[in-house]
Amino acid sequence: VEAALQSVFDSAWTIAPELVMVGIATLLVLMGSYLAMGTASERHAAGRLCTFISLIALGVPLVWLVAWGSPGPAEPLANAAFIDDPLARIIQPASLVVGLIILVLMRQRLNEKYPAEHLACLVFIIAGLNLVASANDLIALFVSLELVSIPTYILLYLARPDARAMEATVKYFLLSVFSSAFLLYGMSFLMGSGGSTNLAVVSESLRQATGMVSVGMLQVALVLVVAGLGFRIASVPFHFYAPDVFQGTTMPAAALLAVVPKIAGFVALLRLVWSVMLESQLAPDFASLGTYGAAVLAGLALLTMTVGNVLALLQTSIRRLLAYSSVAHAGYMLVGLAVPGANLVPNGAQAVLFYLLVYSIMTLGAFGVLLMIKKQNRSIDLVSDVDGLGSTHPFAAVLLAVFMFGLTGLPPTAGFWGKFNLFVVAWSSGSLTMRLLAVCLAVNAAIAAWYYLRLVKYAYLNAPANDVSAVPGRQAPALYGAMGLCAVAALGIFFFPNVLMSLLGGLGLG
Amino acid sequence: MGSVLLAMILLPLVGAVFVLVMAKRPDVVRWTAIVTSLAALALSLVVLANFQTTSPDRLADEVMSPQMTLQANWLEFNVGAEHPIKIEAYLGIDGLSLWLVVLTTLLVVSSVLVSWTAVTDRVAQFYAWLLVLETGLLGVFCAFDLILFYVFFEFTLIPLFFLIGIWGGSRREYAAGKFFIYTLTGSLLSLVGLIALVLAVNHNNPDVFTFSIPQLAQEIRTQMAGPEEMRAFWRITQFWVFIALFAGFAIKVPLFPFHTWLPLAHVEAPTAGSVLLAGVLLKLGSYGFLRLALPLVPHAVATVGVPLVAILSVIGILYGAFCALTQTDMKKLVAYSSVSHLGFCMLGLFALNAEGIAGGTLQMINHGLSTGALFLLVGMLYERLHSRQFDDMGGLAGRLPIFAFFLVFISLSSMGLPGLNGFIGEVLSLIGMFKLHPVYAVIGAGGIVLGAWYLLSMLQSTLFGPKRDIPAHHHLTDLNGREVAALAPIAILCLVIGVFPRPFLNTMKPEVDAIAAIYQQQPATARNVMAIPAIAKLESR
Repeated sequence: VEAALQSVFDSAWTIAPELVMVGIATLLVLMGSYLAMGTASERHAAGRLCTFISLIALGVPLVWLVAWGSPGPAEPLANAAFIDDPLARIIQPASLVVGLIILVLMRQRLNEKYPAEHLACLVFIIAGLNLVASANDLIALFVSLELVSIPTYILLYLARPDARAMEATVKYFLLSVFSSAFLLYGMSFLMGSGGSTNLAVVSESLRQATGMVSVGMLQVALVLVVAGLGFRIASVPFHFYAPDVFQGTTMPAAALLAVVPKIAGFVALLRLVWSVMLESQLAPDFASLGTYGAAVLAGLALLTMTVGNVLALLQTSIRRLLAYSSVAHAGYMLVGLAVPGANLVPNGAQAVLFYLLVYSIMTLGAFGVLLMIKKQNRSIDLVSDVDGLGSTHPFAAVLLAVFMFGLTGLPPTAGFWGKFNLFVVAWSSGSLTMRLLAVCLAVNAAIAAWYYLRLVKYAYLNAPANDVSAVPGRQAPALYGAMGLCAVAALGIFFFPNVLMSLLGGLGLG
Repeated sequence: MGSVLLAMILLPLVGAVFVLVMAKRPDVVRWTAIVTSLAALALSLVVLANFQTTSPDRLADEVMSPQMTLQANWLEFNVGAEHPIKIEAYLGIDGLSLWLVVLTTLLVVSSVLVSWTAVTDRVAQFYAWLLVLETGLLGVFCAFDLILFYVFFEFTLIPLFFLIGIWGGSRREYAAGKFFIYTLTGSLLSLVGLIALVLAVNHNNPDVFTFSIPQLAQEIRTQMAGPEEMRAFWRITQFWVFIALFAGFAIKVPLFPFHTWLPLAHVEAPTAGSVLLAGVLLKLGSYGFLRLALPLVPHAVATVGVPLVAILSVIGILYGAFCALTQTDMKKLVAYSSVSHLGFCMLGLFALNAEGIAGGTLQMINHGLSTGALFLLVGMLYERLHSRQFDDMGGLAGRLPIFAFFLVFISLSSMGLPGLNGFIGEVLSLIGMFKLHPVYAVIGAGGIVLGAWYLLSMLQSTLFGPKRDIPAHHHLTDLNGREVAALAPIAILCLVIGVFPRPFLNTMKPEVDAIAAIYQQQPATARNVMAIPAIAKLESR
């Protein structure tokens, strides 16, 4: 116990920004009790204050990380609970940017009764995500993942006080708890095999088989870990909650669910599975684990992308459609994860992260566009709600088209390079399974084109619906600005992919 | 000179942005569009004037030797690896793409002119998409990097989707969607094939991790000459890569069972869309075979490709012709004639000898000119009659003499009348195929007869016969100056190619010979395109 505590203390400086964020979020919750009362104008002012505080909580660490890097030690201790490695250096700024965009979205539909609690949850979640990115220890990783999950329950509960939202929250809560149990059980097997909770130690002991551990135990660990994290990335068959929850909750909360748990899940999968259990330098006793894991992930990838895409085809609700699309994208990314080996160019981790970042930009963008427009008395839900957007709200329609073509993976959007990297990775692995999987990915991308294109078709080819109004740019400059930036990023990364690729350079090589 | 190419490709894009800025004033929009497209045409003529038929720095056994090249790193990814994965923005031009570039810029000018009064809804967006499409098309022809090629190839879907979907006929949405999904499915499989090819080259020679087409062609040729196990490796790899490329390009051409999107898309598209679709977009498929499949996977082309493509082409020639015969809609007839004519083009390319490849390449230009012009004419007639049914036509020659002249002239060129462009292309293609497999050539030649049949019966039911007393016919006005300006350059070019094919064939000769040389043991110079008696006889007239 002392050693474990020591490893956390060792990395106190590394996680200093997250500690500050958690502190501010706690402060927000405390403030919330005092802000909840008062007149409408007072509540309005309180909402602005809370937004400002959250902006500080997310913006200052971002500026700090970009300008000066992590405050942790330059040479992290190998047995520290949290380390500042290439993966963390990419994910942490990215997750703060994601947090800022979600803040802008939430600002649009700020909970009138509990603005402080609402935004505090966001800050907690982003802090948790940052911790997941730097966790180097099984317990630290699990706790960080819970720091993402628990505020999410509250957020979903606070979001909307009607029966559908309640149902969504309960569904999410029960399945999430269930999946955490799976994960924890899997981690216990991993710890048992590796002899430590520290990932560096576990990895090292898997390289040098001691003869005490059978490969079967590791296989159990792998399956349980993948099942537990499969819930977070919404992979089939752990995806059932996604469409109901996306539809039941508010648009900003759905945007958060589409992106944040996915980043957390994939980062955890990279840490636990890709760089520990699928490694190429495993001891001879464990060599079969790599093939076994790759097969499990490849099967999961095929199932996830196919089921996600086929079900997305059938949807008439945009939110359910985006939910299934997020399932399908998880399937694509699993393809990259299933390819072991850090020496490929690019390697699986790089392809997954490139895709993950590009996916996040475009999915947040898609939800943002849906927040820009409003049906009378309700927010956008049906696919036909975007009818004729091209002539009534050209700006929103152009953004929608960019994000939809981006999610399809068409040039000139960053989505193209995302798919390209996955194809290259799957093919260069050299295994027949992975190559067949690449072909399946191509077919799936074509199926997906059909439903993304359908949205563009409704927006540009159909006659406009009269009762859809737009939130004017003057009233929501932040929303328009953020969505504009997302679109610029989605297009810009296509023309200058090196900007992102060079950031991913050192990944998975240490 | 590379900057001229770049300027030519980007100019329409700049024009498109300007057009959108000026959206409120349709007249400014139209004039901007025409000026931009004329400027692009002028730039393509500059390229043509500066093109060197026999490039001085061409090496003896070089497969591809693009001129006016422009290379810049696009995506480079090298951390931890000795040899970086490198994707370039690699532009250039050679004898195979030169005339296609000129064809594209010319047809865009005609498309802008023909839409002048036909398009009244969302004018700015229409011209913007048209110009964006031009950028995409020029980009494909000037790309010498696999990924750049692919990016432009796929990008053309977006503008055409909107052109068909917004300004098309009654079933436009279905047509646009089907066109988009159909071609995207094929091209995604091609992308996997292209990546597989690059990785296979890299697997054998870790020093090469490039997407540059000339470099790959050279490297594959070297590796194919290597030891037996290397050749065995390539036989299998090339087979699969060819299948993947076939998936993308056969749909685009389109070859026989993959053609179902074409009549629909052609008929529903607005005139300008049909012109560019038939005139240039279909060439992306055959050009893809010519630029990528023939030089990069020669073994698979020679063993699998020839029978597969030749049989499908022959079926397509006959099937397309028979379908055209039964149509009562003029636009549908022209659309099905495309299926038939593209069959000749593919027969030529897959003859794998100098005559065939030259004929196939020329046939791409010819088909672009004649079918593009036919769609222009159908559009002009539709603007007057608001119908494309033969029932509503007949005896129009008396009322529309200039229109009738152009329709007859272009139809004759399309059916391959000696002295006009269609003849040279078809004959060369068939001669090439005859040398390889006489059976395909003989059956295919039947398509020429059928072509004459359906085109002549089209002329008969539209132009000739007695004047009909239909109210719509009473106030018809003949083609105006703008419409003549759209058609005349095409008609003149048809005549020039028909009478003096030599300069056209000469410019493509080095490239054609180099590709044919891959498939032949004897040196390429032994087979002279110009030595074909048919051509010599024609020119002596």
